[in-house]
Amino acid sequence: MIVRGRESSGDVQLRAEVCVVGSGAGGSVVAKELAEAGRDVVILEQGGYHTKADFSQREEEMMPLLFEDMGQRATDDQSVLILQGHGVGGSTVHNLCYCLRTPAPILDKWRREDGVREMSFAEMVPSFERVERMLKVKQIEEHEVNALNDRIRQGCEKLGYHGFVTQHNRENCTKSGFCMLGCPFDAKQSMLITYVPAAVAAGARLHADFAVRSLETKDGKLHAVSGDIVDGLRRPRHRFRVEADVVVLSAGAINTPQLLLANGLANSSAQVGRNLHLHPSVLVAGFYDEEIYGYRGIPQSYYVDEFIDLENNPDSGYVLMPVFGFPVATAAQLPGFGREHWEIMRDYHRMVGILVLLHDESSGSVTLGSGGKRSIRYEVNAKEQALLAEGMKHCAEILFAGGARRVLVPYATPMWLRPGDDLGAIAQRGVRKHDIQIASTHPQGTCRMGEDPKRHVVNSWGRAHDMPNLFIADMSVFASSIGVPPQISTAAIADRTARYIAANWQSL
Amino acid sequence: MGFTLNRRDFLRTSAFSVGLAGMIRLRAPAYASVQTGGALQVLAADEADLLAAIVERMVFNGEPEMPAVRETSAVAVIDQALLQADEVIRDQVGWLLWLFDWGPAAFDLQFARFRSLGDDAKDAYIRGWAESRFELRRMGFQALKNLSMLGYYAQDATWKGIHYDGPWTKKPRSDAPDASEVSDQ
Repeated sequence: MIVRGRESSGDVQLRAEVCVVGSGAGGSVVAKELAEAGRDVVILEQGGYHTKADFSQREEEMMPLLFEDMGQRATDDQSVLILQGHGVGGSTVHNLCYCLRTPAPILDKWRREDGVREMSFAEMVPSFERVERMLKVKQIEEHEVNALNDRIRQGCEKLGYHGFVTQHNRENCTKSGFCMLGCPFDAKQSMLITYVPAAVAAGARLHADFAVRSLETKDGKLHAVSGDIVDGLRRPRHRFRVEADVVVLSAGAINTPQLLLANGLANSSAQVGRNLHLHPSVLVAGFYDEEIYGYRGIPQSYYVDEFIDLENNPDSGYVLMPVFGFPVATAAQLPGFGREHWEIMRDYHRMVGILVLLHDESSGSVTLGSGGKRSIRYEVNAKEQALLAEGMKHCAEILFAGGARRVLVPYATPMWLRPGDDLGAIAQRGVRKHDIQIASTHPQGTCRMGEDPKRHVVNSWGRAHDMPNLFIADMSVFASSIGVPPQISTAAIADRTARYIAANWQSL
Repeated sequence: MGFTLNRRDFLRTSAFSVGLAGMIRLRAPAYASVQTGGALQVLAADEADLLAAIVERMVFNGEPEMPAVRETSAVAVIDQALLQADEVIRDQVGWLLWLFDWGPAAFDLQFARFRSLGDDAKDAYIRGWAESRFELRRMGFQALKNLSMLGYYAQDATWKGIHYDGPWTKKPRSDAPDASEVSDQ
């Protein structure tokens, strides 16, 4: 059963064995696995239930529909824009379908530094495989690499930089290129059309537009969750309350700690909300004589891992990824105004974007201030500012090697580069707050897992150290930055948590 | 309209761009009907006229392939976006528009409002905001630029000029999974 709260006419009271808060890459997996294991599951999703019929491919309509805070979420000082999904399926509805497993050195690091148990790469393989089967993960074929990605590949090959065409979770893709705005063809195998319907088919009850505010305890255990049933403009209309034996928080690395902090729960370690990693990214754009039409086709298929070596340095490095924007976002990002701006915008179809995504040691926090107002803070440290600048220099190299006639580094006062220019100018200018837009699509780590209750919020299976019937299954449990796009990792770790809950149900 | 200005709120206003336009499906009226009144929900007619003048200089209004700003619904789209914004942002934008219009007198000692300047003078004035040594003034430029780009490039009529195909399909397949299971309470 799927319920749209915005159509409800009154308050709602429910009872379930398991209440899952959130329906993205973590929550939908837990819901499906536990429902199939015979548990009575309720899924609460604060966002709406939208299907392919709603996905209009218009950015001014889809950005507010599919993103947290209507696409405006950012750190307090607005230096980092944070794009997270909002609605059934979470970020998997708008992501660009990179499918990479958690790197073995990252899992080894978590074992070594955080005491995480039974979570080596080999031990994770069954979960990876189950998730990949559900999401129909497959290799992107050569003919599916679009001109934008191919330009970047050509540049890398000329320079001898290592990259590869990745796997993705699309089936019968039309290559319309609008993946970021939701797939109107149901080709993208997001949680919206894979795990969520499977959970519902197994008996789970999905309630969209149900925004959880309170977590109620009784005798040292979580007893119920309650909150507002909201309308399409996210305004409260009615109230709900769900009593449950087990609660699984899968609201993401910003909202999950916010909920715990607001309710004063599971935080004897004082680590809830800390260790926020963002995979901060900056982009560089190249302009070619040829027509590229970067918005057509699969947006991201190539992946450059030349500048990350997790085997030897699991704490640092960066990857490079193709990227492209739709007209409004591109026009807002391009420098200048009037004729100067138009001279760039008219070459929209000759543009290639490439971004640097940092595997960050830098960290920040999610906290609550007076009146319960959420605060997100994050600073890129000096060493990693230099790494981002180095990455931007490599982006420019790659773009020129691929044939770009000019490269734009979108500083507040833009830097234009031509072939043969000294790219050291980028390192000299560096990456400073507010001088260049930093974005994040991968917040993680704010309820990190590990075996020390003084340092970790949840144990190796996502169970809260402080509360036996509270689990967390989203990116907040990552013990560090993972250094790769997180879709498969989030789902696989959630799969593992669900199996633990199912296997230990009698003792929870 | 509140005459308050603090850095954090202004940062939010500056960041305000893409996100707010579409919580309801925009079916914004063209500027011509906006001028006749009644169609706008946030902007006053005078503010709409000022905003149109700003958008015209922000997006460059002299390209034959591109539609004239006042022939599009750019201002109405911005109005719809502001309707979705919280009151603080609406107040900031109102205050920003007022300051921008009277700014030539305040910043450049010209006895003129923005709208009365010639095109070159308008551009020089906007550049003064964009390159100001005062952070808040630069942010004001970015906020007005973001709004301008949102209003203008959300218009289908602008896409041909930038070689953008626009949405592929007006009518996705209708066999969505679970559709039959969707229920009211």
